[in-house]
Amino acid sequence: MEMQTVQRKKLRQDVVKKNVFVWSILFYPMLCFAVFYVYVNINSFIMAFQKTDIYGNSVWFGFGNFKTFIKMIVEDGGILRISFKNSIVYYLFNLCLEIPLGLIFSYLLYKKLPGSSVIRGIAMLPQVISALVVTLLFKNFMDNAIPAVMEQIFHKDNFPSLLSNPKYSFGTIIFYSIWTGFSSSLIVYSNAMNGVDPDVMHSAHIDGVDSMWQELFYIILPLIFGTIQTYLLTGFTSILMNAGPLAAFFEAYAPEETYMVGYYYLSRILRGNEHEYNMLAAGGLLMTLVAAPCTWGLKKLLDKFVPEV
Amino acid sequence: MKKSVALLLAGLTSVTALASCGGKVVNTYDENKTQIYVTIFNGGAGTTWIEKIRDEFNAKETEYEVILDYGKPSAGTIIEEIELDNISADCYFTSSINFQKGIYRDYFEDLSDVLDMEVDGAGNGKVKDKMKNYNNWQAMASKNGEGCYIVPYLDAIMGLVYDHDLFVEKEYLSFATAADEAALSAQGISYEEKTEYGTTYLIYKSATGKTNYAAGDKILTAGKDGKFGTYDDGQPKSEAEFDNMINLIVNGNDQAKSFIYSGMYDHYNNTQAHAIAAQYVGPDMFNNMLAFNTGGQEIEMYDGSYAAVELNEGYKVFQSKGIYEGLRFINKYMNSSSVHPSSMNIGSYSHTDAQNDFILSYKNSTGYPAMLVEGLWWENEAKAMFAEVENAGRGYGQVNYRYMLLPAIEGQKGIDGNGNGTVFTVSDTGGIVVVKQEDAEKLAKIKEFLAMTLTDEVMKNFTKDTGIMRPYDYDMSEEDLSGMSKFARNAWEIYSDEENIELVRFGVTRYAQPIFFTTDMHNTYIPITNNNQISDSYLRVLRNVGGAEAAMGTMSYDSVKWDAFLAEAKRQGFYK
Amino acid sequence: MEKSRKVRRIVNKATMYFLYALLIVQCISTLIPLVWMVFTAGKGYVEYYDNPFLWPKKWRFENFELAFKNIKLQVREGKKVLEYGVLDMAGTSVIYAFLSSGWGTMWTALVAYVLAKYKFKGGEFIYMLGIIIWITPIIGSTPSAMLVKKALGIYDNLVLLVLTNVSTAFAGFNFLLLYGSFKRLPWSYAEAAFMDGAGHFTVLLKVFLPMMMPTCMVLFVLGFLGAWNDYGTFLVWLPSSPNLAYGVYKFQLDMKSFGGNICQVMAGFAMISVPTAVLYLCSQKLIVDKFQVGGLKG
Repeated sequence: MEMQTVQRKKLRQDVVKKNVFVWSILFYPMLCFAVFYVYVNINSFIMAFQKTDIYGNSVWFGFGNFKTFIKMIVEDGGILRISFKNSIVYYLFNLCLEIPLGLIFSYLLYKKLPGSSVIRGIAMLPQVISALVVTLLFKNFMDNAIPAVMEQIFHKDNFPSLLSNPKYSFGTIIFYSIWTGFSSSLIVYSNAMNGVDPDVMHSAHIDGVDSMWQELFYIILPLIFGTIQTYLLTGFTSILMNAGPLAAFFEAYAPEETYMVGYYYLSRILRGNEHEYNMLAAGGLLMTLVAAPCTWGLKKLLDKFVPEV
Repeated sequence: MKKSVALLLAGLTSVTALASCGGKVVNTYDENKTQIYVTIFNGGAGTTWIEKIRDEFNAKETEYEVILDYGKPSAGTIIEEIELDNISADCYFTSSINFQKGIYRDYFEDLSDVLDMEVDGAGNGKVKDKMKNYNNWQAMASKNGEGCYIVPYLDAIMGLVYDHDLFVEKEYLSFATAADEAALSAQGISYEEKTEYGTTYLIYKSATGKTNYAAGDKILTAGKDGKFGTYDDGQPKSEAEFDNMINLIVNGNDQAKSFIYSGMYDHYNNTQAHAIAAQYVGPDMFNNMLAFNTGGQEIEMYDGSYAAVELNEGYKVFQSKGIYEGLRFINKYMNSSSVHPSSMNIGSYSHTDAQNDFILSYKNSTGYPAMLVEGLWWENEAKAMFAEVENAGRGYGQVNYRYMLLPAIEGQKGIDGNGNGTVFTVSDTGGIVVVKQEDAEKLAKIKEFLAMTLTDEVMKNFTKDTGIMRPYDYDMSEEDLSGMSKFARNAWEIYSDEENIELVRFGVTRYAQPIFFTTDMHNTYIPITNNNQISDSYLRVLRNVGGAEAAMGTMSYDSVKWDAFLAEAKRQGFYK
Repeated sequence: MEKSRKVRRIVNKATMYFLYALLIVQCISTLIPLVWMVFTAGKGYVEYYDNPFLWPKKWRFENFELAFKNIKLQVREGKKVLEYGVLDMAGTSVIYAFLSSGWGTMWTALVAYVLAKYKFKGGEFIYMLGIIIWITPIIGSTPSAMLVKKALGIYDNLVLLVLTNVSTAFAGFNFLLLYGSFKRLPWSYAEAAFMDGAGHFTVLLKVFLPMMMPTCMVLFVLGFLGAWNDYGTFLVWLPSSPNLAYGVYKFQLDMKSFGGNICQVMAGFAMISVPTAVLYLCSQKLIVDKFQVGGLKG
C-alpha cells in the first residue's frame, strides 16, 4: 500500500518534472508566437471580413471578400484561375520530374562514379550568390543568346524569347526551376542513400537485383522514403505559396499566362494594390482552410510508407 | 573542418570589431536650428537648382534649416511610410500625384495658401494664376472639393523620339520644294536651290526671324504647325504621310525597324493611344471621357451613332469612336513586324534596355530602330550609356533627338475643333506634398521654402538644369535654352507652342474621379480584355485578341460592374 | 539467355552514363553564373551590351573600385547623418548572419527536440499548428507588426529583432528536418541516462544535442548564407543599421533607375559573394557529408 503511494508520488513528480522541462523550453518561443504571430496577424484575420474606405475606416463586410475571391477563381480566364492552374502544373512538374531526376542523379553520386565527389562539392555553390545574378544571366541567355544562335545557325529571324513570349514563358519558367532546383536535394538524397546498410545491398545482389533501376526502386527508395516524404510534403505545402522565379524575372509585371497563386499575392503587394488587400486576406484564410487538412492527410498517408526505424 | 569554420567565423568577427560598423558622421546639423527635411525626386540629372534655394533659405533663417535628400519616392511609398509611422521627411517633391488616399486620411497639409502667395513680387500674380489649368488640378488635389493638398511639380510629356540628323540624312522626312517658296519668303527665309542626284533641295541661307536651321541645311517641309524652322519640320502631317515615312524606314535600303519600346513596360504605348483618342474627340471631350460624363454633348460612337454619356452609364465612353481610333493606331504601328523584335517578343525587355539599344543604334548601318517610345526624362535616365559613347560624338545632349508629332487622324476634331493641332499626353505630372506637421511655426517655414521654389526664376533654372518642364507659365531666354540638350530644347519648343500643341494631363483628370480612387477599378483606363482579363498594356490585349475591332467587343465594364463601382463610391460619400 | 543478360547490362550501363553526363552538364551550367558574374564585372558597359557572353577584351578593374566606393548608405540619426561604407556594412552582415542563424537554429533544435521526444498535452497541437502556419499566406500584417515592434523597442534594433525572431521556431523546413532527425534517435539513450540519475536538461545537453550537432552546424551555415544575402529585413525593420546585401540592393536599384551600369552592379555582387563563397568552401565537407533530412513520421 505504502509502496504504491510512493510509486505514485514519484510518478507524479516525474510528470511535473517533465512538464516543467518541456514548458521551460517552449515558453519563450510560444510567447514570441503569441505576440509576433497571433497578435500581429489577428489584424489580417479581421481584414478578411472587412472593407476599407478612402478615409481609412473599416466596415464589416461579412463574407463579401470571400465571395469576390471565389468568383475570381470561377471566372473563366480570370487571373486567379490561371494562377491556380499554373500553381498545380508547377507542382506536378516538381513532383513528377524534379524529384525523380534528383533521386536518379543522387543515385549516380551515391554510386561514386568518377568525378562524383567534385560534383557533390560544387552542387550547392550557386546558393552563395544572389538569385538576382542567376536570373539576370538566364534572362540574357533566353532573350539574346538563343535568338542570336537561332538566327545564325538556322537563319530563323525573329525567334521569340522563350522566357517572355506568352506561349513558351511558363514552360521556360518550369524548366528554369527544375534545372536550378537540384542543388541541396542532390546532397540530401545521396547522403540518405549512403546510410543504406551495405549488407542489405549485398544480399539484394545475391538475390538477383542487378540493374540500376532495380536497385533504386526495390531497395534504396523504400529505405530512404522518410527523406523523400519530407520533400514531397515540402513541395505540397508550397503549391499555393510558391511564386517561383517570376518576380526575379518580371518584377510586378509578369505575363498573365505565367501567374501562380504565390506570385499573384506577391505582385499585388509589389504594386501596392491596397484595394485588394481585404480580398487577398480572405483568400489566404480560405486557402488555409482547404490546404491544412489536405497537408495533414497527405502526411498521414505518406507516413504509411515510411519504414520503421 | 569544423575548426576551419570556427576560425573563419572568428576572423570575420574580428574584422567586424575593427570596422566597428558604426558608420562615420558625414554631416552635422546646426544644433541650434530646427531641421526641415525635404526629399527631392532625382531624375538622374541636376539638383543644383534646389541647392541654391536651400543655401539661400538657410542663410537667412536663424532658427530653421532645410536638409535635402535625394531619392525616387512614389506616392504609394510615402503613404505607406506614414501609415507605418516611419516617415523620413517633412516635404516631398515627387513624380506622382496619386496621393488621394493620404489626402482623405489627413496625412498631408492643405497648401492652398502657398498657391495664393505672390512669389514673384507683389502685384505679379499668385502662384495659382500661373499654374496650367488650375481648376483641373485643384479638383484632383482637394478633399471633397476643398483645399489643395498637392502643388504641381513637373510635367513630363511622352512621345516618339527620333534622331533628326539621321532622318534628314536618310531622307525619311520630307524636303521643301518649289511649291514652298512663297511661304518661305513670307516667313523671311532666304535660300538657294541645289540639285543632288536629280532632286532639287532648298538650302537655307538666313532668315529675318528665328529658325532652327543653320546655313547650308536642307530646308524641310513646314510640318503641322505650318511654320518653317520649328520643332516639327519635315514631319508627316497626315496618317498617309506617316505611313509613307514608316515605309521608307522599313523598306528602304537600311531595312530599319520603325519603333522600339520596352517589352516589359509596353504599357508606355497606352499614352499614345490616349493622345490619338484625345486628338480625335478633342482634348476637352477626352477629359470629359476620363470623368465618364460627356457633359450633355453627344460623341461619335464606334457603331456610327451619336450619344451623350452620363456617369451612371459611364462605361459607355469606351464604345466611342475616339477610343477605337486610339487602339487602332497603336495596334497598327506598335503591333507590327516592323517594330524592333525585342520590343515585340521579349517581355523582360526593360525601358533602359530599349534606351540603350536606341542609343547604340548608330553602330548598325541596317536594321536599327528608328524611333523610341519614351518620356521626356529618358536622356537623363540613360546618362550612363551616353557617357560610354561620348567619344563617338554621341554623348549626352550631343545628338539631335526630337519628338515626332502624332499625325492627324481622318475625321479628328483636333485641338481647335477643326481638325488641327497635336496632342501630347503628360505621363508623369509630379506633385509636391507636405506631411502633416504638429508645429505651426515650422509649417509656415516649410511653406515659405516652398514659395521660394515656385518663382519664375527658379522654374527657369529647373528646366535649364534638368530639361524637364514645370506646369506653370514661365519663359526661357535664348541663353537659358542654349545650355540645354538638343532634345530638351526641342521639347521646350513643343511645350511652349500653345497654339498648335495641347497637353492632356491624363493623370490629373483620372485621379480626380472618385469612382476611380474609391473602388478597385483597374488602373488601366480602357478596359479591353483578353480572356476576361484587363491588362496593364493595351498592346498585349490587342495582340492576343487580334486587333482593335475585336478588342472593342471585349470591354470589361458593363452595367452590372459599373453599378457596383458607383455604389461603392456612393457608399463612401461621393456623387451624392 | 546469357547474351540477353549481357545486352541488358550494356544498356543499363549506357543509360547510367548518359544520365551521368546530363548531371555533369547540369552541374557545370550552375557554375556559369558565377563565372559570368566575375567577367561581367570586369567589362565596360558597351562591351557588355554588344555581347554579354564574351570574355572581357581588357579587364576593367575600376568597376570594383567604383563599386567599393559607391556602395554606401547615409542614415539619419537625430541631427547627424552617418555614412556606412562597405566595411561598416560587412560588419553588420557578419553580426546579423551569425546571430540570426545561430539563435534561430538553437531554438528550432530545442523545440524540435521537445516536440519529438516528449508526449505532453498540447504537443500534437503545436506540431499541427506549425504545419498550418507553414502553409498560410499572410497579407497586410506589416502595419500591425510595425506597431508592436515599435512599442516594444524592437524596430530598428538589430539584436532585439533577432532575439525575438523565434515566433515560428516550430514551423518550416528546418524544424521538420530536426524533428524528423530527433524522432529517429532511439529514446533508450535517455532511459540509460535517467537510470544514472540525469535530469531532462542533462539528457538534452549531454546526450541528444551532441548527436545532432553536425546537422545543426549544417543548418547554421545554410542559415548564415541566407542571412548574409538578406536585404528585405533591413529594408523594413532595420533601416539604420544597413548590412552589405542591403547596400548592394540599394546600389543596384539606383543603378537601375539611373540607366545603370550592370558591370558595376556585378562587381558589387562579386564583392559580397566572396565571403560566403569562402565560408561555403571551408564548411563544404561538413555540409556535403552531414546534410541529412529524415522523415516526418510521428
